[in-house]
Amino acid sequence: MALTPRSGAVMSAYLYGPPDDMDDMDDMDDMDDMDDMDDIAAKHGLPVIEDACQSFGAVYLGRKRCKLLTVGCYGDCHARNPRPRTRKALLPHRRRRPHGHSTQCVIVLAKLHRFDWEVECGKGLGAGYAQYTVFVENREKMLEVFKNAGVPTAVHCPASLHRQPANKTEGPGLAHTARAAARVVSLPVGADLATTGQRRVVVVPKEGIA
Amino acid sequence: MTIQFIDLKAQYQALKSSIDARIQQVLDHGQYIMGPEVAELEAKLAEYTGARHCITVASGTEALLIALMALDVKPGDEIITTPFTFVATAEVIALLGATPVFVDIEPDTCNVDASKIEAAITPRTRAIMPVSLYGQPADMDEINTIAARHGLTVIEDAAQSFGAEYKGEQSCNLSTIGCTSFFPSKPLGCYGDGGAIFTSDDHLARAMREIRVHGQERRYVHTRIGVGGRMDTLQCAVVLGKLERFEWEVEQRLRIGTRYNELFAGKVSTVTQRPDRTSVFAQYTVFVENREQVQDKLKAIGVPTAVHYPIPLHRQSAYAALGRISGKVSSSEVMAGRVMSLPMSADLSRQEQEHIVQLVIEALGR
Repeated sequence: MALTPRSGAVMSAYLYGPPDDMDDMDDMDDMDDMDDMDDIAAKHGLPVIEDACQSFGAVYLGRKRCKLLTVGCYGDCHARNPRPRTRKALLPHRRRRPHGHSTQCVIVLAKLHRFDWEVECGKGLGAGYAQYTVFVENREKMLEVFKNAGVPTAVHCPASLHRQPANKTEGPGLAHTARAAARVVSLPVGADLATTGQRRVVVVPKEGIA
Repeated sequence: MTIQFIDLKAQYQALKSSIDARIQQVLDHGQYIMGPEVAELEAKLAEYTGARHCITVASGTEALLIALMALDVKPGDEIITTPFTFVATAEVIALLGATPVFVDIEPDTCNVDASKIEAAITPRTRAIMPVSLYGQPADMDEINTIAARHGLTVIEDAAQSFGAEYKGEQSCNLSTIGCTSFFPSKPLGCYGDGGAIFTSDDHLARAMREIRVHGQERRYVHTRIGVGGRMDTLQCAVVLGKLERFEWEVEQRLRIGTRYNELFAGKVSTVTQRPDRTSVFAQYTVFVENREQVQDKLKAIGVPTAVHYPIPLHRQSAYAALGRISGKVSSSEVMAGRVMSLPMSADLSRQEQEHIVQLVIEALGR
């Protein structure tokens, strides 16, 4: 429905990971269905670009080519982790600064030796996501509860792109986006998060609401 | 002896403890994005140039792009510049959909010919972007006067000239906006990509700071279109590690460049040094005929050379249709066929330099 004669490409984003609780998503289509997206794009002769900024390691099946847009490193996407699912790997897209032996490449290379371990730890924590995100009602109160308990949180993203002053777009069909923007809270995640730390994070909201 | 074109290793050896310590501090504190070294470097560089604001950015190219975005340059706008420069100067103009308008250079300095700028101005002109080529500032007073008369902004492309002076003032603080590069081979370089914008205009500075972080006025609120344009904390740390020796290096560059001129006087044609300004000799450049043969001869006897630039931008296939030429650009075309740069760095020894000069003179059959 969004396609017009001026459409040049389809750009999807792997955000956090697929929702675990489909009850919360009721009428929402599976946003992450790359096969459907590939089919639609192919039908209209459009390339698909995957913004995989948070999902390094994802691989894709199928005919349509997608490009992994970024590789995590200290200078740039330093909070990225791979997705737990895999499909067939495709060509990494070069960053706008293509200097092959830069300081940042060296840092990523140094991290690679424990990368598989980090992925496994992530699965053990039940995450493996760049962000572990939950949906809450009354987000302001929940943020206060976490803050008082010393648990850092983040909100990605509170203002969806169509509502940013720089874009100034409104329109039908973005109700799920708006709803998600009002409900998301991301929790501490990372391969080095100890189990005790994770338990504490889970308990805090229960204690805070009680 | 093995001669390096630019001896970065010697510089690192001289500064190793300082640079290593600075890098380690960043790795230890872990603030890899917008860490304390960013603000520290910006404060020190602003003080050095005399500009009120220094905004570090991802590269010299990004500096030019962000400067133009802060001026809200749009498709249909024209920016006057020189075709005898690194491609980034025109690239950023074209990326914003604006038109680079090429004005010819002076054949003796290879800087833009200020006397030809006014003829290039149209109602669509928004800014003038002179390049301080090879490290010598362009005719900034003349250019600023023309710009003021027509309500235009001047952006000094000072990618090669950080540290140079013009009538007692520092390059990067000679016009409303100055942009420089910390590419490793520059007079002040980092160990990767980096750059900075200088201005004393508070509104422009604020716009540039927002643009470099995706147009954010505050976290999550994007009030303008931006770019991912920050300079890494690590690279800021490297530049900080180099600052202790920078003034000495500027003095050395001036001394070595002047010595080259003296040794070549009457024998080899060189870039003219204007008396009212200095150069940091980002490149030491001579003018030769039969350049390819000369370069081959010199290469065979161990003297590396470089050509900046063999193809002026109006002849680059990506820009031929995008730019507009004002008048003729014959000097640009002639000099593109004659320029040849020689080894240059603050650590170039007297012995190496005299050796290079002798071999160049012999290669030219003088």
